Amino acid sequence: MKTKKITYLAALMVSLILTFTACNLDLGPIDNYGNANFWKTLPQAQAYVNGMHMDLRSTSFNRNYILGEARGGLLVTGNSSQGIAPDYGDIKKNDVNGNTPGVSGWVDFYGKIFDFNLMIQNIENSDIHKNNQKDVDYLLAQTYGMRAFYYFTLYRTFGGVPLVTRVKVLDGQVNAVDLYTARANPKETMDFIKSDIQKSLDYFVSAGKEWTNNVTWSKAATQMLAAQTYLWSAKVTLGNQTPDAGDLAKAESYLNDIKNNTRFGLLSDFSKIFTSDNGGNKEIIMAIYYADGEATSNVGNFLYAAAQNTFYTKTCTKVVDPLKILSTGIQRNEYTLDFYKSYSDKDTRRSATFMDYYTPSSALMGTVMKKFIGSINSTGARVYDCNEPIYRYADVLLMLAEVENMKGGDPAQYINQIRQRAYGADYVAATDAYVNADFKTNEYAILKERDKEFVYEGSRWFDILRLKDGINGQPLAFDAASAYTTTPVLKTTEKYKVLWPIDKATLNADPLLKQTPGYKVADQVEEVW
Amino acid sequence: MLLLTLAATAQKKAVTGTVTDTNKEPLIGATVREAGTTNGTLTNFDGNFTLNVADGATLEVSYVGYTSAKIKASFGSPNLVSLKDDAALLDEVVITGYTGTQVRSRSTNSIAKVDNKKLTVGVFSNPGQALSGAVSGLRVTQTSGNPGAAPTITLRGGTNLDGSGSPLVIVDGQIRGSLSDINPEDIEDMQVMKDAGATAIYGARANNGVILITTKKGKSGQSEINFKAKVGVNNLINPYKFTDAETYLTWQRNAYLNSHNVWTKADGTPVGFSPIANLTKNTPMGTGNSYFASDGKTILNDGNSIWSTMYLNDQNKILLDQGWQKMRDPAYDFMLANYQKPWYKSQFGTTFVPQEYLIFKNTNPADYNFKDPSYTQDYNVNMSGGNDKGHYYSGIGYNYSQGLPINSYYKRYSFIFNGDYKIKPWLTSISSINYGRANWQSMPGSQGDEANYFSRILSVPPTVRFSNEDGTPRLGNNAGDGNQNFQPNQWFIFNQTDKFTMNQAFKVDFTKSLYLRMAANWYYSEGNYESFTKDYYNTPTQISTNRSTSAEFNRSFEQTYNAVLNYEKQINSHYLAVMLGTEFYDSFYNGFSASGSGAATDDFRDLSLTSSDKDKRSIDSYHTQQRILSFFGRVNYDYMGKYILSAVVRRDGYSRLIDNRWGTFPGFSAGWMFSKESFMNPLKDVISFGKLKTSYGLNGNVSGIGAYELQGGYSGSTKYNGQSTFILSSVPNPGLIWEKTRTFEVGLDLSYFENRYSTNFTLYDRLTSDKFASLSLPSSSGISSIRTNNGQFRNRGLEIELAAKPLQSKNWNWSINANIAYNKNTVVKLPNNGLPLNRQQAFQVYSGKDATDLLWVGGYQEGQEPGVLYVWQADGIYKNESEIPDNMKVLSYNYVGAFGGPSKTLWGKAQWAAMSETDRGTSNYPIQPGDVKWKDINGDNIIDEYDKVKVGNTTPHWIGGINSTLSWKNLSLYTAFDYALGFWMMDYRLPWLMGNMQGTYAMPMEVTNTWTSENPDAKYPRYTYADQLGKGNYLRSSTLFTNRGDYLSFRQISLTYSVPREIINKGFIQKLDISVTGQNLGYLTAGKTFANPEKGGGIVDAGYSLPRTVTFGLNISF
Repeated sequence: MKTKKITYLAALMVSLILTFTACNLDLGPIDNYGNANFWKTLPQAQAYVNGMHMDLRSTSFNRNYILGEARGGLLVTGNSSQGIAPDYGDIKKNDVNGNTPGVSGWVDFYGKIFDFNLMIQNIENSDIHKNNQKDVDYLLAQTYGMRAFYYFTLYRTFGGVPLVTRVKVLDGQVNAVDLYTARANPKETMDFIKSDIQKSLDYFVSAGKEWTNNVTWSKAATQMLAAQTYLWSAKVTLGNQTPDAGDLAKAESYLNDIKNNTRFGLLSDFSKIFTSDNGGNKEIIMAIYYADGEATSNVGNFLYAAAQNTFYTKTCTKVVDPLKILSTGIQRNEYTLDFYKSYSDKDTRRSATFMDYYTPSSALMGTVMKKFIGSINSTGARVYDCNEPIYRYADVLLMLAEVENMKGGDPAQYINQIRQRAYGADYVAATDAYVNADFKTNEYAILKERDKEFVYEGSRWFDILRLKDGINGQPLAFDAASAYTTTPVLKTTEKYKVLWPIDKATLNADPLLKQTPGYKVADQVEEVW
Repeated sequence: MLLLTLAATAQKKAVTGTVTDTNKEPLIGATVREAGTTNGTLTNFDGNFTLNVADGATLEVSYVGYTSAKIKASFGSPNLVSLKDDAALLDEVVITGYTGTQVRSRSTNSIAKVDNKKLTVGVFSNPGQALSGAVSGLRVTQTSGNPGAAPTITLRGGTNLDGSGSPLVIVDGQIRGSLSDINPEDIEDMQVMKDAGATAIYGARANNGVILITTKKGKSGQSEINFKAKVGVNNLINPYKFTDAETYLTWQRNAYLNSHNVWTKADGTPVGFSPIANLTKNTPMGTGNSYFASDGKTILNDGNSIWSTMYLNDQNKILLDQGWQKMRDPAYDFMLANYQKPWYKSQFGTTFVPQEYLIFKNTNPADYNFKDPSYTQDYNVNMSGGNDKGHYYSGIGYNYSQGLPINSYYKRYSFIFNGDYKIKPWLTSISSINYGRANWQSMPGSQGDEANYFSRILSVPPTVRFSNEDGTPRLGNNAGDGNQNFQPNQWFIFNQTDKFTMNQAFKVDFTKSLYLRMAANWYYSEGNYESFTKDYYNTPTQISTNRSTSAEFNRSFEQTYNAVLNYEKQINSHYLAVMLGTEFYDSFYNGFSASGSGAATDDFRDLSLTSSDKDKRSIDSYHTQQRILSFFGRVNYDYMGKYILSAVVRRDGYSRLIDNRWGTFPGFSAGWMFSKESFMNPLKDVISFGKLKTSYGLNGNVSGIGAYELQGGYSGSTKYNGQSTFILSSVPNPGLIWEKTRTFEVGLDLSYFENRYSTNFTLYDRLTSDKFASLSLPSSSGISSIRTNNGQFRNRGLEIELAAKPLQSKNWNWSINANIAYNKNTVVKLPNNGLPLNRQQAFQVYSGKDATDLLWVGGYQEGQEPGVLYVWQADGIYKNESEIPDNMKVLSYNYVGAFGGPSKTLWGKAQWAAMSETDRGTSNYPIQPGDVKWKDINGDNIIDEYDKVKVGNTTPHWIGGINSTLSWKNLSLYTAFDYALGFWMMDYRLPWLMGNMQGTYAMPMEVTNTWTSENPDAKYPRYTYADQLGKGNYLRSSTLFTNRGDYLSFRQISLTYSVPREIINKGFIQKLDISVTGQNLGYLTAGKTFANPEKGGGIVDAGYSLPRTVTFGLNISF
């Protein structure tokens, strides 16, 4: 009896333990992909590259406006003409320093670079890559191109930056020390950008595909980036990053590639380039996609507030909500009247870019920027859905003008193509055409053409750093005329301000990181370039 | 059948007797049973009994709280039985997990039993509320008086870096998320397992200790029905006393005057920061309000008539007969002197003429926003019975507790059934069902935040009109802050949880010493939430018609299956008990939620009626599954009851973890009952019991980690150009490993004078390694932070328990229990990040050594106790002009980034005088009398962000409780206190109110102690308009508002009267107790304005104070 009991007991225990042990503890997420089941198929990788474009859109305002425009000296720094306190007042005044750096955490660009690194790490030479060589080559071409684009923006903003190319936190146990990354010196950074550009171009070739549409990263986008990069490299010295003999020629060759690409050209009507319903036009090489219901842009802050805002036109007519903003905006940013006044009356870009308004006594009072004003949607609401160009054809011509000027040639033909389009039927070559002059005058002509052409396209700040008062001269940022006033954008005593400082929290979180030269506060350590 | 019974009876003979205690006091209701039968009776009120028993029978006599006795029945003379008082502390049963039990004297672990009095005295919506001060080392912080709130419980300082970490709650073997919604009445026994030598049996979930709850079961030979009713009256305790309307107007109108003219330009223009024109507008303290429309008859109800303040005139003076008041305008003299100056004309308007008298109405917002007192009702009926074959217990309970904010309540329905039956001699079936439903609404739907309800909306200016003179209610300024009683029913709120536990177990007895217990536990819990906003007045004239509605339903089903084999044997002097077991746990959680808005009418909450326009609706569904597989075992051994050893081990596998899924957690303990040694014999009269014990064990922890968190996530997001996108939404972290907590402790248990007095001392050291914490990463990594196994954290402390029965006489009995525990937390190790002490989140302050020397303080640093409070030190107030230094620069309280507004800098006398008007601008002010004298730590004459001082730590070092029961005849007085000592808090809300940071709202009475030229010795700085726009005297966190947090809570005082048996016996009633209890009667503490002194943690906002409750109770047993 007893043995029988014990046998039963043993059998029972063994079967229980077996039943339990068979239970599977490998459970995966039910509502989304986890690391174990992502990076397994081509559509996943394609959707991931779509995600990168979405990132490109979410960083657009910072990249385009805060970094590309706000410090350019063309924005009102006090209350706006409608009496609204400005956003980014310190930045617009170039009042950035180690305590109030204006931006923090590298503008979160490394969060996006993380995505590119993750893609490259998981896809390059993986089974998906091997099984879908051409499709994946195309994705990698875009990935390398966009990574270079972020690093190039970081370079122009901060100089040498940490070069992070791998997602180390996925390699196992996480340790902050292993992730500390010092800033590379300027030359290392620039060389890295150039090598990413080359990888992108190579992949476009092996993919046998170079274009999807003008809101998706393309070979032409990489070529534009390459032209910008080499032109920067040829003109702007930073520490050990000095112009190389071949830089200018490379820039010119990339620009010519696009100039000779029949897909692109100038539109005859400037105002048609940006409208919501004409996103696919031939002048746009690469743009950020916006659409009602998907995502809209920030330009409401360049307009005006309540629908009851009344304005007087130049002829003293009182208008209520002339642009049909329908209470969707506020005037947190305003371009200076000095700049507005620099437009010729013939210039169609002026009215395509700004709405001007007056005091009841007909004095020019202020302007709002309406260039990207969007549209009225099906429910009658104002939506800011204009695509925002990253690269467009006019830039090709104006960069070619710059190359020409550097070469000692005549940039006028390029400048005049732009001007002719801008003045339209009113263009009279004899009086309106630009005529070649000395280097500095040419640079100014190019700058002023660029300023009028590229309002809110993220160009201005970088332009006044790249265009110079002599072949080996100073950036025009230090020259009074560049700001359309008598005060230069940057004082000559503040040369270091061509770059941005790093915020304290970012510095404190990484002991290898040093402050941008000229910006140190308290016991910080600066880079020496 | 009848014959048989008669035959049986015929053989029996009557015995009589008396049962008493050792003091010869009769014991009423003691059980007298014929041994080995179900034949028994109870003693009457004289302690006498009569029973028919067989010849030679043995009588078993038992009584709760006394040692049972067996005597041979004597038929001739009365049987006199004297029962000895049970040495309760020593012989009570300790629960060791997985149905294991042990008598306390043989326990080698720290397992504390909660005195049942704690749970039965007073009224609680959940048992957590009863735990304050109950167990040494257990910190119970009740931070909300909301009846549905469960307190935060931490054992021995908590194992997390921030001092958090709550014990695992297990009810009859089923893990529960918290103590919420459990009926205290159903609890037979509640114990707290503290040391890892014991908790290791619960392996990976138990590093913060375990609270084990056993529900009531039926007892053999005892059948009864109990009815218990309690009714409580709850009163509001509001720490902030606000001024009445007259005082309000005096201070507020003066504040606008003094803040608009901080200094004056040479041309006479005042420079300041208050909008002085508001004094004449339709503002709470402004005179631009109206009562009548322009016709002089119609009573207005619009934006111009929210506030009552007006100039007294012929039209409105009739209001003085209807309760309105008048006063001389405190701003009159100033206005009269200045209103015609150009600057003031531009402010007040060209037609404005000041008048001398104000008329206003005084309103106390608390009168409208609270139900004070509110009532609590609690009813329970339970039935129990049992015999040798089976036992039965069943109870139902209902609790309805009104909250103090209007429309708030908590309701709990509970049902429990516990039954067991011996189906075969070797097989017992044990079943139980436990059901609890809770419904609640915490506040009216217009509110979402307790701190706001108990401060901001009470500080609505007393000049507000919440009702017309005929009693018609009015909204006040807006839905959020105004009269909450105006439209509370425009928000429909439905919250419900249903929790079912179903247990079925079989116990198979193989031999007398070997059994197998197999159990299945199903825990099914549901949440059902709906809210719907009808049309409501957002302001007196604007109706919000958003009609938003939302619904959520979620359900979790948790299955636990286990099998436990038990063996127990006493061979001569050796005792051995072995347990082996395995367990499988699976939980599946799913739910869906949806919301919408824009329905055509506001009558129905049906989601299908909401607008189907783009982006008007949102839906979601979610699913989570988790599993745990475990194997465990325990061995207990002792020799002669003197040398005791115990070992446990558990191995757990968790689906949450990936690369390091399995963990093994052992525990050991040993004890030496030295009082049994012969060398102790001479001391026997003094030391009646003595035991030395020690334990060591390991626990794990994976709490706080999402089910799939370590797998990372790639999720779909917004589209780009109409195409689907994926991005990495959370970073994979497969390498994360268990947090490991090892506890070492040594304890000494001593009892004196026949166990009348006893003391326990326990020293512990708990070290948690591989701590989870979010590690800040350099920005360049692309991730701001990630969860890592982040260093080591130590809790170290001492626990002392005292129990005494100083009085034990015929009529008098007094027992008293007290405990005190000391704990200190230390960060031992942090991951190497290249910084000194591997500090995280630290900040710098001046050391004071020289002008520039900075120290890194705060945050987490190796070797330091976390949670210290640093603030600016206020060295009083500048009383007059002569005290103001020439050279002192006070920088804005913080650095203002690119997106902030302008900051203000304050300057010393000489510096200010030297500044041109242009340089002064609007962002510089002079230091003036009435400003705070900030301590300049480094002596550089600049007050900046580094000039802070250490106030102290923010978590109590000492906690404990004292309770006593004193009884005289049928009267019993119970008192319970608890306390926490050695910590500091700063009031966040008082400076907000006194700094007038809303700009118009009422001030607390402390305003009368602010600086004015007439009261230069005041404690607080000058009262101004919106301090945050001005000088930051109040905004800067400072020693002006810090207090020691030490408190003593008068938790419970209860008086019970047991109606004597001779009175009640006629009605078949066994027992009738009536009681009155006061709960949460107040705190003895320094910080009078803290709503919840127990909170701790540094800077503390206002909140829902625990109400003061008086409860009347009735217990009847049949």
